[in-house]
Amino acid sequence: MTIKAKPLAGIRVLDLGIITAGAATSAILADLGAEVIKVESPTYRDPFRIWVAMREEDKKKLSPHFRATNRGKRSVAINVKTPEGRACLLKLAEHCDVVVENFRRGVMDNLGIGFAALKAANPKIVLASISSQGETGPDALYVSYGSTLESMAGMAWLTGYAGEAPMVSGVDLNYPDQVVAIFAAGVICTALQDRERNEALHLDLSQRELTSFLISDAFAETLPDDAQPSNPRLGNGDPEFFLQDCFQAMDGRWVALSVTEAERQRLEDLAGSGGIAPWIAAQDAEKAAASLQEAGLAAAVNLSGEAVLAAQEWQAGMTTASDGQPLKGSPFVIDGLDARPDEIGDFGAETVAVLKEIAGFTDRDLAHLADAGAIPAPVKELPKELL
Amino acid sequence: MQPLRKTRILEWADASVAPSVCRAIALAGRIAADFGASVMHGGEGMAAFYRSAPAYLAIGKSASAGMAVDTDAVLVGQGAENAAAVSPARAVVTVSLKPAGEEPSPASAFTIMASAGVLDVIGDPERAPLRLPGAQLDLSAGLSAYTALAGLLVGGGGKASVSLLDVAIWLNWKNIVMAHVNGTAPSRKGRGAEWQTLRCKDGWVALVYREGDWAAVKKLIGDPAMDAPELEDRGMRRRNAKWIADRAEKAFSTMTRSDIAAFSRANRIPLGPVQLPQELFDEPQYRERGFFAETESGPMPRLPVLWNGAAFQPGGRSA
Repeated sequence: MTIKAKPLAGIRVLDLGIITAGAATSAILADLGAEVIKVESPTYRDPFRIWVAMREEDKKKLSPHFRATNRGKRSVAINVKTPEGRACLLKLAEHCDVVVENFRRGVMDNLGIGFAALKAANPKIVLASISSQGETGPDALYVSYGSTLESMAGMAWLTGYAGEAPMVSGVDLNYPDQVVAIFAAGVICTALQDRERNEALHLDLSQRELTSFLISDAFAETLPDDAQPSNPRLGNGDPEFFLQDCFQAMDGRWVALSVTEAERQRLEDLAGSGGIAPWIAAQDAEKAAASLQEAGLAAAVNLSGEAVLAAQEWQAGMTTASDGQPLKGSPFVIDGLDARPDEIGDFGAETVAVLKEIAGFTDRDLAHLADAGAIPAPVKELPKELL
Repeated sequence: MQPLRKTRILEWADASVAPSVCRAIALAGRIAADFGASVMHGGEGMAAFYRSAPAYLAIGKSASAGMAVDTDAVLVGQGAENAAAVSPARAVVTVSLKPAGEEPSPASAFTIMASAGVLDVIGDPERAPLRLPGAQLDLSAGLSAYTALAGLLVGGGGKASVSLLDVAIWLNWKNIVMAHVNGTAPSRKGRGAEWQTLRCKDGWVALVYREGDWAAVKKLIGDPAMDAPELEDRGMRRRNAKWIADRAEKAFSTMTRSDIAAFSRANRIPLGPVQLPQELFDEPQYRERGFFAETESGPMPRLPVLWNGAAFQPGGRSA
């Protein structure tokens, strides 16, 4: 079986996503072959552009996080706060199949580009709204980041050292923000494959709900009226394994080890009566992990981010820009597809090209949009007499 | 409103397939079942997995007689590709612990998280690295397998593969990018983390905030020491995170989770009360959105999406 075309070839996505959740969803759709148009406003650019700037001198630099997340997209600048910009965006939406957004709830409607306006512009549009808590409910406006949601969804309660305080994955991983992009892309594909759908569709995706969905085991192990806290934190332990934990080696590094009940004897044969902790502590991590693996046990040295980067043992999870910067890859491999997307251009670099090619705007229309402040001016691509 | 109502999907794993891979396949199948697909499972690996699997992964599925059954798509554990070749399915997604072609060596989802740097970012710096709770990597791979499958169905078919190692690295992308930019990647910081959980009067709360939230966070903590001009700089706050956490925790000792959540709502900052799983059954947000569905196995989270305002029941047509 060979793949003849990219799965989403011919699908066009209007990406209003910012930071991770929305922008990464669209990036996955780009990996599947969709044409993704990232629209930002000259007055409100994706905050990820300066996300990591902790030094004054870095604040004007493009964030590596933004580059990593927005590869494979075309950059367009439209100021939807102007009537002309709003009309311009809705005209572009007429020619798109999907809109992805993760603004604060209410922003899309306040800008006049909410589901009703998009549906009026395009009766078959799919609007994927990726929010913290969902479109509705008393917490719909609760400002949240990934680790806020780990806490409010029950996941933080399960994370941490056994018998100690709960923990969150934190700003450096921000787990809920990552997984929601995978799920949202899958839901959008589900909508697209339904050829009999003849109406516009609003997908209301709640990150908090997804985070709880991913701890469904915990809900199965508790009852709504339990008086005492259930689901104790297990640290690295797992009921499916006789032993699972990290052990520190002589060189200070940690070795991760999982041993099933059926493998227990192999562990005891290797480590002897003293136990596994002193056995690992008496040698370097690499040597210990190799010996454990030779004995048929699942073991690995705990790697830092820089060690993962140096090892490059991924097939698709990361990719690389022409200057060597790692870019986000894909959480899956589609046979026959090139997994090296192009980098996004400068801010608004393809505004004119996209509005002309896709939405059918003329040079005169674009000059008018620039005069009205709907797109950045001057538009250098226009004939001189229109500038 | 069952977008996969005409789709038949087979989950398949031989006896040699790791339970983590079976769990990933089962989650992908569960999502498909909720969307209305007819989902079957087969092979000794899946059979063994379902003998002890929680109800939320098994709901809405049935056992299959064999791989040759007429299906549109197959989710298969690595090692059974030859069996998958006899399937008439137009879309095949293979799931494995490590990418195809990599030298086989014993591994678990936990050791893969170690190899991907995921363990390294959670926990205290002087203590053992910590995993994400439950079977998060298996389930993340399940989400990936479902998305690959749904993409292939849009395109008319094809083959895709998902490895837990690639998924773990993809999840940990920020630290790999920072390793390139700075030469070192962020590692676990424990009490020195910018975002962390802190004790409050009746439990814990997650201190989470961004640059623009600092003024409101200071107001919540109510400690004049937080007004030091140097703390207006994020880099300085990160370097003094332990000191900030200590002061904040002292202030939070007189506040309940509800107090802190109410302040956060009113001031639009992202601090989050740490809620117990059992508390969520009665959580107003979840109640209003009907997040817990009643099933024969008890209340169970529904698929976390509303489709023009409507929910999917666990197990789809069989629910």
